[in-house]
Amino acid sequence: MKTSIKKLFNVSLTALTALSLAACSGGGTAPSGGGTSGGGTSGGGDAPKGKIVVNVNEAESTLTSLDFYKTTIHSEAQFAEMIYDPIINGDRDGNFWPCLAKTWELSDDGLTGTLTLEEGVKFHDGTDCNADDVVTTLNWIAADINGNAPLIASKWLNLVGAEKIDDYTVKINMSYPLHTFEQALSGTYVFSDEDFDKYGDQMWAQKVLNGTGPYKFVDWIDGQYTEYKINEDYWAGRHSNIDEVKIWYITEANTIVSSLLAGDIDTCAAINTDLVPMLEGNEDLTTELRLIDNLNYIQFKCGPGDTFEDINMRKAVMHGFNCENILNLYHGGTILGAACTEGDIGCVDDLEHYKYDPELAKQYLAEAGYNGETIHMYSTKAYTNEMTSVQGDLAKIGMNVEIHPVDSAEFGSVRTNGEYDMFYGFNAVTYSDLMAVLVDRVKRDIHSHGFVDEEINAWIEEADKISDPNERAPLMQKVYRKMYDLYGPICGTVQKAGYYCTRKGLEGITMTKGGKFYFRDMYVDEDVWKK
Amino acid sequence: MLKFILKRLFYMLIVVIAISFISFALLRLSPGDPAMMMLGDNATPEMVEAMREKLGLNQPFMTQYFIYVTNLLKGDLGTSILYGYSCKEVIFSRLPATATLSFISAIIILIIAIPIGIIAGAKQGSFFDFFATALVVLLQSMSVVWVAILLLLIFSVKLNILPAVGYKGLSDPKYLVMPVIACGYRTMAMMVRMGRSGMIDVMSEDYIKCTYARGMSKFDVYTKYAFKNALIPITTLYGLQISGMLAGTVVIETVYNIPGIGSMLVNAVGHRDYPLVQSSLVVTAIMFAVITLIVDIVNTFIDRRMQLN
Repeated sequence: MKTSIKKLFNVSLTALTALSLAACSGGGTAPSGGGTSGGGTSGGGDAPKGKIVVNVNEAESTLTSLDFYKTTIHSEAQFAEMIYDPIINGDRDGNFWPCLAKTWELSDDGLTGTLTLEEGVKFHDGTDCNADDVVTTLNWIAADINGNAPLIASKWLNLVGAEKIDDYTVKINMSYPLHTFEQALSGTYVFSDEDFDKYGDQMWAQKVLNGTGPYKFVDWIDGQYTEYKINEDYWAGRHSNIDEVKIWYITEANTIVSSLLAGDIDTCAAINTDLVPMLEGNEDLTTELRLIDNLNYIQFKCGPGDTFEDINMRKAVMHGFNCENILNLYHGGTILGAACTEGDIGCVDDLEHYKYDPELAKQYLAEAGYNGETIHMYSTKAYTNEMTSVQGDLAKIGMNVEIHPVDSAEFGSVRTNGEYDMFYGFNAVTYSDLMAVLVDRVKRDIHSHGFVDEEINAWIEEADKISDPNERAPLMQKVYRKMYDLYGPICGTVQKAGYYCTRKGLEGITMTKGGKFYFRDMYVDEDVWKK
Repeated sequence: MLKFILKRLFYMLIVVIAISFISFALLRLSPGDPAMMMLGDNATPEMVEAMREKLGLNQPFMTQYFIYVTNLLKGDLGTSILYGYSCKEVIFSRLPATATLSFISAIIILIIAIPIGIIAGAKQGSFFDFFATALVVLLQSMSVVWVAILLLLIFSVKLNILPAVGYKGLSDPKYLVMPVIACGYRTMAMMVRMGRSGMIDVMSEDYIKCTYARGMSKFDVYTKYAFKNALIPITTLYGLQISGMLAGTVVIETVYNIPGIGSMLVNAVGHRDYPLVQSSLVVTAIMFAVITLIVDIVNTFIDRRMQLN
């Protein structure tokens, strides 16, 4: 018996030791930048004295790769902006201004672009940034646009390559005219040709993050944050009075608000409705209500033989649900007339949303000969409220709608394969330009609506070639009007409002129409910033 | 013993291959396309096709599986679509956080829950037993999400003594306090209950009555006979609970922003990162099997009647 107990004791002791050792190895992932996190009095409260440290958060998902060109995830673009400079700058609201290129021109036929680059631009390692680097970057993108650079692929569909004219002049060759020239330039982040020669496109994986941007890369803790320090030698002069920035990737709503209140982070976008009261009245924070969601719309599958081929069915839906009910679930917002948001290029302001009229909707339903068949409506889980509201309203007019809240991956495949009757869609509005939506979702029909209108397609095709927004706007207006009259294939619903919150004194955060943050240009008003 | 371990390792290999096939098949049967997820909403069919080719997703199902399992047997877990580098690297960069959280919780459970359970069982009907039972019911009735958020509100927002988010391993334990509590309290309650009922069961056995009849003291009966036999179900359950925690405490990791394997897996599933999901499941299955093996070995030390066969 004694021997058994002794053995048991030994086994337990060994197991405990093993457990403890294994636990110690956890320290391996501890942030190397410990102690530099900003703000709060607890978690991030160890900010170095005399330094301005800002902890920000706006994440739809965590950063998954330093190879930012490889994905279309917002976190990656946000990361790239801090370290790299784009060829030209943009506010994602349709305004562009010089950055690495001080001038940029597009030839009349839209096939050649000419860039004049700034002189004296330096990479973080002190080497010069000139035409060689811009040419290398553009040629690398052009070599395998789908494989190398999904981030910018849809903007550079026509890119053939680039040539060096002299050290500070670059010629860009394109195969056909496309409206995206400036957008593409503003999303092209230039890397060093020397690094590329040395590491190839493995440079990001090897953490060779040598940009020309206003911040230098310090660290990335997968699942937690990326850390940056100001580039003191930024070629355009010190960009901000902030010394260190951490971009956190916190996705849980309660945690975001708690961290904000505890002082661990300094920003928060799209706060859940039920959490807003926690922030109200806090004197350290600025909470503002603003339009914060993307263009929301309903798309019908309305090709030959589909339930919504009959315009009366589409009319029944659009007159049969009340957009107010959707907005009441949130903090209000705007009801859209056409399938575009206010201020977008070519958006038609004089159209009002289809009048909510259940009796009229019932009439249309009768005219369509609807016999109670099940209508399958899809969206992502994040839009379950919207679908439930539409479903409830349509049930009142006798339409049998079954909703399917699915994850993003399934939603993508359902739409591509056309396995829906209608879906509740949403689209990020960047550069105040929905041209890509018209091209991809209406003309090219990437989401399989099956609807064809030759006139609409011709307008879109023509507009797609025009880079100048003012020239393009009339054609886009025609498209929006006709889609409105035809009740499809895409009908606008709402743009929701939401609260976003920043710590007082933190300024200059760029926010897109869809409520996405970019932190490159932020700074601190030191008189107000009390941390 | 060696024969027993080798035999179990062989079974483990079969389990791993079975899990690799099931996860491989289920992922490909589920709707969604990793290429489309990578390229975003406005990708053209040509772009998607090119990406599918690059990722090897346009090959026949069995060809893909054969390549995967051959590489797996060589120790190559593949390359993560989402991260762009080896799955092994991704998983092993995330595993320490989950392991730290799980093992610290496990140690605390071992130190606190088992003695409480055993004492409560030995002193059935006492005030201590009543108190322990009430505590167990209370703890088991509270959802993990609720407790995790409640802890945040109390310790970070109201008292402002603990950080709301972040993880620095053992170098800064204050980041672990709330996650460990939230991770362990339900298991702790379960272990107390199991310890109590195990002890009560053993105490009603005939051989215990015999030991009293032989004139042994209560202390000797408890320590030499009852405790040892009550331990068997406890160690089994304890092993299972540790395995479960190691597979990823998704809720805890999400709420406290801990870079563990659970939150990584959720992200990988959402993006249909086939290689990473498959590899994570295989790795967790191996950990599960290893812990079960250790528990079985420990049980043979506790009770010699249990044969290693």
